[in-house]
Amino acid sequence: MAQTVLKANNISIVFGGLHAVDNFSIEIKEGELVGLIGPNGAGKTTVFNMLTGVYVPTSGTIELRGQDVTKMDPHSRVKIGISRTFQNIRLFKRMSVLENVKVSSNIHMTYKIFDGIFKTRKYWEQEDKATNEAMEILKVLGLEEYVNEQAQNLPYGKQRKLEIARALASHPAILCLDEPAAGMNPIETEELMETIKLVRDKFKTAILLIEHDMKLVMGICEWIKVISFGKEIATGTPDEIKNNKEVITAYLGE
Amino acid sequence: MDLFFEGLKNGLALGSAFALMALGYSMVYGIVKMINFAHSEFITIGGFVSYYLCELLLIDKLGNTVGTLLICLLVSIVVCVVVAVITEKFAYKPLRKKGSSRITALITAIGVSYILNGILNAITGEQLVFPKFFDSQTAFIITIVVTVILLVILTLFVKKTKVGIAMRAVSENENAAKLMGINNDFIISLTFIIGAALAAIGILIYLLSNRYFRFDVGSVVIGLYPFVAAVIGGIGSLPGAVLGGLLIGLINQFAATYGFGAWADFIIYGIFVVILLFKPAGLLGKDVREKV
Repeated sequence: MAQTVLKANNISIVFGGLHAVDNFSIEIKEGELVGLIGPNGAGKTTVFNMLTGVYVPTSGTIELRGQDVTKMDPHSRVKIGISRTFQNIRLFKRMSVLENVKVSSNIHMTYKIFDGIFKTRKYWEQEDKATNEAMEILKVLGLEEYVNEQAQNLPYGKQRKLEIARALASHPAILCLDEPAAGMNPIETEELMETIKLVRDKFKTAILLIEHDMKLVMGICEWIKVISFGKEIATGTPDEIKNNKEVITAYLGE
Repeated sequence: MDLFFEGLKNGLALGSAFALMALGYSMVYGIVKMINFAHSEFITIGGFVSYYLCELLLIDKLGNTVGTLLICLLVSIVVCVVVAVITEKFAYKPLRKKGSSRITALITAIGVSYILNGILNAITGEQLVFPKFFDSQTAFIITIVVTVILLVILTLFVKKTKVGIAMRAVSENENAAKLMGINNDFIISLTFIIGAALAAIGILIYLLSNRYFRFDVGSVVIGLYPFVAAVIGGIGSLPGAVLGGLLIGLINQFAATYGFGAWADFIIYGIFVVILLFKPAGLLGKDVREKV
């Protein structure tokens, strides 16, 4: 039986009277690939922001690997095992590709400032390990040739992949991808689909995905949750969702 | 020619002290995008601590020895760091958490600066004389060696360690860093700590060659120089802060050596206005322009 990685119980958030997200619940198990879809402004990114700690929900609870993280800082949640990418790319633009990934390895390096200044054995061991690991991840995502390039000089599609690589370096149990295919052409999207599957299989991480590209979502997600105006309207397999009346109405209108 | 070397030597010594002080402004700005005007008071506090330690305790017992100086160094670093951390925790952090505007933080910083300055003035407004430890030749060598060592350590620290990478990440995108597992509050505190420690070291080095000082040494006599050095070098850039510090020190001392002492500021700021016209981001600063 696969363990539950992430569980949200009836989370809601109110922004000055507006119920941006209302009683949202989700349970994701190890290694699952789940889609979260909905029309623009439905509250998908707000859900992500609550799951990763940017916002604290007004009510409801969030559990990450069995631990209540509802009010926990974002950076502490990363340690327990959640990480994410962003709708608008937020790389550390002027740092190298390798350094971008190593930022996320930070939490797994335990050497102290003293070790860093005097370059003790512990420093070298841990830094080398982090570098090797980062290289592994970059290889899987096909970015190894850009290792020393500044992140801002990468083509757009590669920057999106670098965000995924960076998110993976913290060893997440669940990876949240916020519109990973935004702005990509069909060929790049196709490639991304393969990458996402590969990432799931290779790094054994569950993936929760927000996406507008229906071909991508329907193509790779095992099950999908649909929200509209902050409320859940459907949950099911891609086929069930495709034929769900309420979903069709939400997207196309009456 | 003798005059030239005299100017060069004094300029490098003074410039090194400015460089260390400038690093504090530059690093804090790089991380929290705020100009910490209280930094000038951290500098004076470092000077006061070293002075009183010498006068009250150490000179009688230990004499004018390197040991005395080392104790001064350690204690003044600790005191400066404590003051900096308290300032950050009680004055700056609450503002940051409430997402206040930059100008609010700036005014708070100026306020803190005046408050600390008032306290220092209340302790004593007298002219103080720092004890003589070394002849000018030795002081010069010590100054250069200490500065170079610190710069190398600091550069390696920022470039090659996990905390250094985290610092740069926070400086580039605070929110993204948080979501990659970086504890921003820790990184910000650490930056203030490093800045304050460098201020303490900087003023001690300064006092080795400039022994007469008062409570206004940080705010008026040294005053804007380290801050200006940080901006001219390119604020946020470590080598830039050093370059700016050395430049100011050299111009200041060459002017004094060749008898234009009264014109020193005129020359310094004149040159800088021209530099900034051509390189608005500073000599080594990165020109960040929003792409449309």
